[in-house]
Order: sequence, then structure tokens, then C-alpha cells
Amino acid sequence: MSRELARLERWFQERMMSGKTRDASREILPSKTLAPHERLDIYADGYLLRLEEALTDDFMTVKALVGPEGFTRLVREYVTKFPSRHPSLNFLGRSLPRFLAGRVKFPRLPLLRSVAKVEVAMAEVFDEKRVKPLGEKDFARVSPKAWGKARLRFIPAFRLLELDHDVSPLITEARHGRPLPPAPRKKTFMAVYRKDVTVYRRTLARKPYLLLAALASGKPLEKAILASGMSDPDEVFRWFNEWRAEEIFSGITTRA
Amino acid sequence: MVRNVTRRRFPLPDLGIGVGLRTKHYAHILEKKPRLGWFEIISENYMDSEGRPLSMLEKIGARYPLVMHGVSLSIGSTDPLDKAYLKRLRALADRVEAPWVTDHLCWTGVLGKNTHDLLPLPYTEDALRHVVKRVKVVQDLLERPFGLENPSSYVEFKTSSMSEAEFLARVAEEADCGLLLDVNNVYVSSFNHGFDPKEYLDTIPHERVLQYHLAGHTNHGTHIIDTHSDHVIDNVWELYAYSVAKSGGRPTLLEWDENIPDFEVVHAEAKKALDYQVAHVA
Repeated sequence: MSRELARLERWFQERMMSGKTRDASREILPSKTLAPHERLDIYADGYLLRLEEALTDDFMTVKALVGPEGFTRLVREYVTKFPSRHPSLNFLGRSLPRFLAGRVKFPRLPLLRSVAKVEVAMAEVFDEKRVKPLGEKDFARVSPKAWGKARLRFIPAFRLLELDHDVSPLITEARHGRPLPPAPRKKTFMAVYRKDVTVYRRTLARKPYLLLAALASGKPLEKAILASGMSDPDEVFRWFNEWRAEEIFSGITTRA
Repeated sequence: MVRNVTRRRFPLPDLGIGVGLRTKHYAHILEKKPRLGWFEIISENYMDSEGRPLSMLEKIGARYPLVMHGVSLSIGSTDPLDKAYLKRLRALADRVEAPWVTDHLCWTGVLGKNTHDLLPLPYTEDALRHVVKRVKVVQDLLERPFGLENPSSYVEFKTSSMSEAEFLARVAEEADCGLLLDVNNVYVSSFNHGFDPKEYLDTIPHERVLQYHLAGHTNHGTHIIDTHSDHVIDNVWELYAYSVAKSGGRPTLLEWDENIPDFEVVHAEAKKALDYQVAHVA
């Protein structure tokens, strides 16, 4: 590796990311029309604009909540703490919940945290690996006696969320560019998943959420049902058929 | 007119005229099946996404050749080459059967960070050795023709000891790689740095040109930004004609990334390149 090239690249990147370009003439020539710092500013200005544009695509609701100026500030602070380390810009926002969980000052911060969790989950399942979901025939192969000990595997494009606000209506309206409805503080459970190429989010009642969470943690079906508090077999049957149709399961292990 | 059309270093199929594949046009392409030679995909948009992007790629790739164009290889970075990235790049190239793969003569970040910009290199002997070494590694891993694109740039470094065209030509010769000649970028940089674009093209080893890029830009008076946001201007078409007279007909692609119009508009702009090829290639 060339030491001189490494030094120059670090110098350039530091100025571009910080926007502090006053000493540009140390390394950069003027053009006929622009001073060295004005030339370097083209990169510094473009850096934040590009990242903000990318984050806007994934965080429309966060942006709607903090407003355009607030979002610009949020992006600046976020990318300073969590600069991109991935080849694709699509992954830039994945640490936004961690950033918002830290010491930051934004209005309606608890609500922002709930919304960011959902918008990140939506981005993640959009990109997640594609695997063949279990079909009706796969389930039919399991003998009735084996079901109690059966452990279910989920497709990678599936996320379960526990939130402090009911944010689903808010996200729907923000993504259509419509006025935001109130999002009351309320313990809310949600599944975010991809079926074929479409991303869905479903608000869940407490018991179905606990059942999915227990299964996702690797508990066999019998123990998962107990953990969820579901006692009506019809309710469990209905629940199971519903989720099977949503193609969220990718495997069954029936060994003890 | 002309012409001593150069022999190709890389005998590849002439795919004709292509367009950069953009999400906005997915539905139109699948429904209307436009007559077009090929599409170019941004590699990073498909390497780590197996939802809708991959599904669209499979459907469109079943009908059209796909060439891969990357933005994060960071060939000029002094960070180590990202082998995991290269492995995924290779896997995608195998999956879509890309006839060749390209990226830019630039760096995108150091210290593990990615600025997602195509940053300029100082054109020094030292940087040249560094880039040549890395291109050879990339070619070995990809096992298919690889080309570097000349970038648009907005700064020149005091330490540069040669022109960009000379640097690019030497990288291509010494690493034995291909070139993606972006004629709009030549024009943009010539305006920003005050060099003669035809002299630049005269320096390029045209036998190594795998493909051309054409695009529109935004002229701010004091400088031009490569925005891919408009039609190709006449000066750029003239440079294209000048270059294809040297190279012969090569796959040519139109990029449009901002204010993207309907597919028909992009397609019609791309097809203009055929007229220039007919008029200027012997």
C-alpha cells in the first residue's frame, strides 16, 4: 500500500465528511472558475445530499415526523456516528434505531424510536434472502402425534416487533404523503414479513405475538402454545392456517 | 469518413444499444418488451437483495443480456480489497451470466467507510502501481473481462504527474483490462479542468473499449456536475462520434438517474447512438 496515497485519501475523506474544506489548497489546485475549497465543497455537499436522499426512501415516516429540516439534522448526526460501511446505500439506515436509542435530542423521540424500528424491519425483509416457504403438502407430511414436539423455522424475511406506539396507521399515511394521524402510546405487537416480493406489516394481538415469539425462539409447538396462553384449540388452528397461508415458515423439525 | 478502426482486445458480442435498468421502468419493460440490445444493472443494487430486485432481474434477464456496472469496488482505495464483496460480485455475475463487469477508476472510501461517491485519484506513478496491482486481483477473481470507467471529477491534485487519460491508458495496458469509456464524463471533466477532450480521447487505447456510456449533465456555469438528469448534449454526441470512429461500433448505453422520464424517452435518446455509429464507423 502506498503511504502517500493513503495519507491523501484520509485527508480528502475527512474533509469531505466533515465539510471542513478551508485548507483544500494544501492538496488541490484551483480551476479557472473555482477556488480549491469550492471544488472540494462539491464533494462535501454531495455527500450529505446523497445520504439524505437514500435515507428518505426508507424513512418516510421518520422524515414526516421531524420535518425536512429536522431530517437533515438527523441525517447529519446519524451518519457522523454511523457512517456507511456497506457497498450498497440501501443498508445505510439499518442502525437508525440504535442511534435514536442513544443520547439524541429530537421532538417526539419515543414515537420516532417505534417508527424507526418498523421502517428498518421493512427495509430488512425487503432485502432478505429468498427461501422456499413450506406449502400445504409439507405440513400434511407431519404425523398428528409429532406436532407437539415440532419446531418451526421461519423464513429470513420475517421480523417480530414489540413497540410502545401503535404506528401502523401513521406509517400508512406518511407513505401516501397524507396528513399524519395521532399515534397513541400503546404497547403494540407487529409482524413484518415479505411474501413473494411484497412487504407486509400486521399488528398482532398479544397471544398470537407470544406464540410466534416462542416459536421463533426455538420452542416446540406444544411449549410455545403454553407460553402464549392460547387455550382454545380452534383459535390455535385458525392462527396456524392463517400464518401458513402467509408463507412465513420455511422448515419443520419433528425430532425431540 | 475515417477510419482506422482498431482491433478489439476483448472479442465480446456487440450487444448494440442498451439502457441502464431502473426500478421506475420495471413494469414497462416487462409489459412492453421493448426492442433493445441489453440492460446494464448497478451491481450493488442486486448483490444483497433477494426480494423484488432479484425477482425483476430474473424476469428481465430471461429476455435481455445483462451487464454489471459497480459503484463500490473502490479500486483506488488504500483499504484492502473487500474479498467478501468480490465474492458476491462474482456470484451475481455468474447468476446473470454477465458477459463483462465494470466499475470506476476511483476510490469510494477508506478506514472501512463508504462515502458512496466516485472520488478522484492523484495521477501519480505510486497510485498507478497500486491500481494496476488491484485490477489484476479483481480480474483473477471475476474470471471474465473487467473494465474501468473514466470518472467525472471536480478537483485536481497538486501531486498529479500525468493526465487522467494517460493514467487510465497505462492502467489498462499494464493490468491488461478493458475500458468503459464514458464520453459525457470526458466532456464534464474537460470543462471542469480545462483540457481538450479530443486529446483525451486520442490518448485512450480504443482497442480496449468494452462499451460506451452516454448521459446528460447539469451545467452550473462555473462547473459541470455529472447528474445523468437530462438528454445528451450535442458536444457529447460529437465526442462520441469522434471516439467510435476510432473504436468501431461498441455496445453503447444511456444512463438516466435523476428526473427519470418514461422509458420511451430514455430509449429514444439511447437509439440516437446508432445513427452516430452508422455515420462514423467504416
